[in-house]
Amino acid sequence: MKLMATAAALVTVALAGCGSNPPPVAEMSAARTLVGQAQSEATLYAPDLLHAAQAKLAGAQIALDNGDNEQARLLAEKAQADARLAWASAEHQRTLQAVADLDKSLETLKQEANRRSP
Amino acid sequence: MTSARLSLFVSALAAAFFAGCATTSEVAEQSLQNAHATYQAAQGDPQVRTFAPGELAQAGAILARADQLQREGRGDELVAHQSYLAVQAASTVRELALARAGQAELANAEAQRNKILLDARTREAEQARREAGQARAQADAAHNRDADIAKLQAELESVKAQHTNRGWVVTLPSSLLFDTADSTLKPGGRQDLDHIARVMREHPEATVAVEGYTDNQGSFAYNRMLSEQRAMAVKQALMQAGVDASRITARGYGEGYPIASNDNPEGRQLNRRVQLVVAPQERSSATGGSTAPPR
Repeated sequence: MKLMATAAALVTVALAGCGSNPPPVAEMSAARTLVGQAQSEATLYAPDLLHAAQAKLAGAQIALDNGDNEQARLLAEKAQADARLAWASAEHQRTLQAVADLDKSLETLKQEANRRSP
Repeated sequence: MTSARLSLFVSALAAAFFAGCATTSEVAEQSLQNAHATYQAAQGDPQVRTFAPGELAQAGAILARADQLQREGRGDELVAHQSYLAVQAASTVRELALARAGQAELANAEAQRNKILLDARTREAEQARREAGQARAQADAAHNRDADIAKLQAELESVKAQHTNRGWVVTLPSSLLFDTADSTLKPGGRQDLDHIARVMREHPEATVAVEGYTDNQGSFAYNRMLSEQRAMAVKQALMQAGVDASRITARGYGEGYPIASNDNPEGRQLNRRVQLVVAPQERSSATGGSTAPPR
């Protein structure tokens, strides 16, 4: 009977270690916030990376709804990482665009200044 | 259930537990190596070191956690998961650094743009100042020229010059300059010409036309020749007094263009004359025979 108790305890440990975690409330909330922040710029400048983040956030929600808290936590963390990358990449692309625009206007300005000077 | 069978069951359960959660497969190993490579690339980027050192340290901490999970044998899935987070973090660091480098470039270009605008404005201001200076210099020059001409006029008036549309005309009786039928200047006549020469020297812009005239006594050709020779003699005298030859034209008109009647001695006396026409500035028409004498 002692052995029986040990077996039950081991099963409990196994289930606790791999299966029954608390719902990842903080991770889900952070993922939603970061994806929302990335959206404003990444929609235009890094749409693929943004879609990856959104898909993982959606997957996390499905896992959560199915009671798979561990899977939900991992996907929420991945969604956060993807959203950060999408935002940074969009910032990079937007800045490149702005630099190119300014360079062009600089060139025009220089030509104009040279034309005006005697 | 015998205790042996139970024991077997427990062993199987334990094996299942450790197999499921504890071994690290090659896939996890690879994802961890990939994370290290991505992080090292970010770390080796000078722009990352300049523009995102704090974020690089955070990415390093995420990677260290992946290493720790592997060391502790926490399982494939967790190691692969943490490795994925490390890859994304290192990639984010590079994008951030490039974005910030671009923003620095943007600020620099903005400053350059402002400098160009400022330079253009400065240049325009200088141009305006230069133009104002030129206008002032031109006004001064015009003023000086006017003053010059006014002075010339006063001096010509002092030698009883008459103002005509051709310039200032000084009429000298031939008897003052020459003996009858001669074209050699008398010493007394030279003094009057010296006076004109001085005026000419003081006004380098002025030109003078020397015109010889006679009365109608004698042949037309002789009078023409005599008046020409006398005009040349006056030109020579002016040249000797320091007036450049290019500023002097000399011509004889003989008995042409009388200014009085040739029917009486007084009139003929007036007609025998040399006229000097002084123009304040060189006239385009003063280049030779086209110069028309006063009527």
